[in-house]
Amino acid sequence: MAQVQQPPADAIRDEQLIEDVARGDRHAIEVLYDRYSSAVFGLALKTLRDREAAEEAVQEVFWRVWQRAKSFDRNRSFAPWLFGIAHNYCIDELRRRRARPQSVYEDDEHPILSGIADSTDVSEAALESEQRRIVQSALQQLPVEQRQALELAYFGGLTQQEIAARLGNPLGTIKTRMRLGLQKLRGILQGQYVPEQG
Amino acid sequence: MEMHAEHIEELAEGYALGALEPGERVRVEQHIAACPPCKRHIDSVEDTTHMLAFVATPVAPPPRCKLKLMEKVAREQFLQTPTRRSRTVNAMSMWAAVATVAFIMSGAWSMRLQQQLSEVTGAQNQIQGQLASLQTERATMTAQIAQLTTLESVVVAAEAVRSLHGAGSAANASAKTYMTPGKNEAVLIVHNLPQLPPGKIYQVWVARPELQQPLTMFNPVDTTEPVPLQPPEPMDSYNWIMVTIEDAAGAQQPSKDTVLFGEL
Repeated sequence: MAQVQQPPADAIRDEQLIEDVARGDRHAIEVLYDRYSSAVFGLALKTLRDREAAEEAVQEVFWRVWQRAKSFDRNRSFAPWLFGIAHNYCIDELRRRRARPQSVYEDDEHPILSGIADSTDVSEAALESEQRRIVQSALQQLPVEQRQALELAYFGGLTQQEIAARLGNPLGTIKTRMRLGLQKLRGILQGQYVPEQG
Repeated sequence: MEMHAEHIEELAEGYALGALEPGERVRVEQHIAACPPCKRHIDSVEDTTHMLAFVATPVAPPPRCKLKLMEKVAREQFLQTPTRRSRTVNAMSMWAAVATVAFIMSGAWSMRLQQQLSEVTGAQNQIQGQLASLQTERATMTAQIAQLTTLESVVVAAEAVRSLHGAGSAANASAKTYMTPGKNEAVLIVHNLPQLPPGKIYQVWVARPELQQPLTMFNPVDTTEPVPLQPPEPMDSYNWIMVTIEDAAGAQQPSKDTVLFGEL
């Protein structure tokens, strides 16, 4: 997939940096950390809703980047790969915490549905980057039911069956919303991507 | 389990979103491991899916996160860098060269100066003694490297990290436990534990409400020390881990002098 936004002309590309990381270049992992730690920390905060757990997450995610750099597929872009690692960690941690009886995941102050797929969540957020602006704009173009299904899974860590039960919809309906939502998101994003250079 | 490509396509979005049931996820992973076209399809769906991460508002993490990460990276590089081994090998090479030269010289002397033979033989014996000593040292170093390699493999494969906080006489100390649920091995890496007086030793314990299980004892010679742990049951079957100060022979019940404590 093409990158949404090109780095400055004098910046080292992510894909070059991850190759350097694979060769044991500590400076390269530091540059990638500086470039993406805020996005990863933001994702962890939104998913885990616990600052201490999010701090653990950001360290663990970049530690896994350091360890797995050699397995990075050079035919893919770095950012989705990084966010895949971050998302997997956060979802695993979320489910682990939810399974622990002493861990309060969902209560009146922390409802799982809060901040997900309401009509203002996406549009009123401060749009600080071109990536965010494009992705949020694309997400806004989805029907609210599709957006809700995607966000409950991605940020809420719920399975398709759990979403179906929570929303009172058939499982097949949830699967269809996810498929159509992602297909439409892909179409919108591809239409707006700046083709990747070199 | 056999799975058709159209079935994978049906599960791709759920897989990319992490929203499949465990059994479905395993079946997808088994299928794509042997099916490059489906793997490419899943990769493509994942690339779109993970753009959702940009929806989260970016927040700068505190500087300590970067410090801890870079410290961990540096420590791993240190463990992987054969500095001590290289020094040992270099030392061995140097002593081997010295021994060789001395041996040749002693041979020449013995030919030309028979009366000094006994002295040269004595020198030879001394050098052979030094060589034997170095070989013993090399064996020790090899064993240490093997142990470090084992510890490193446990740390690298660890699926969970648990923090321990300093207490009592070691309030500035800290530690992390690298463990994998279901496994009876783990590594504890301690920082800033003070040197103990003679006759005392640090002892690691794991515990749950009905049990306090004594584990290994150690006495740090460095500010950062990896300690191998091999509890009788998997690490995640215990609730807590702690380090206490005990008499040098160790204890079956922990003293009240706890210096590190953490939850598992």
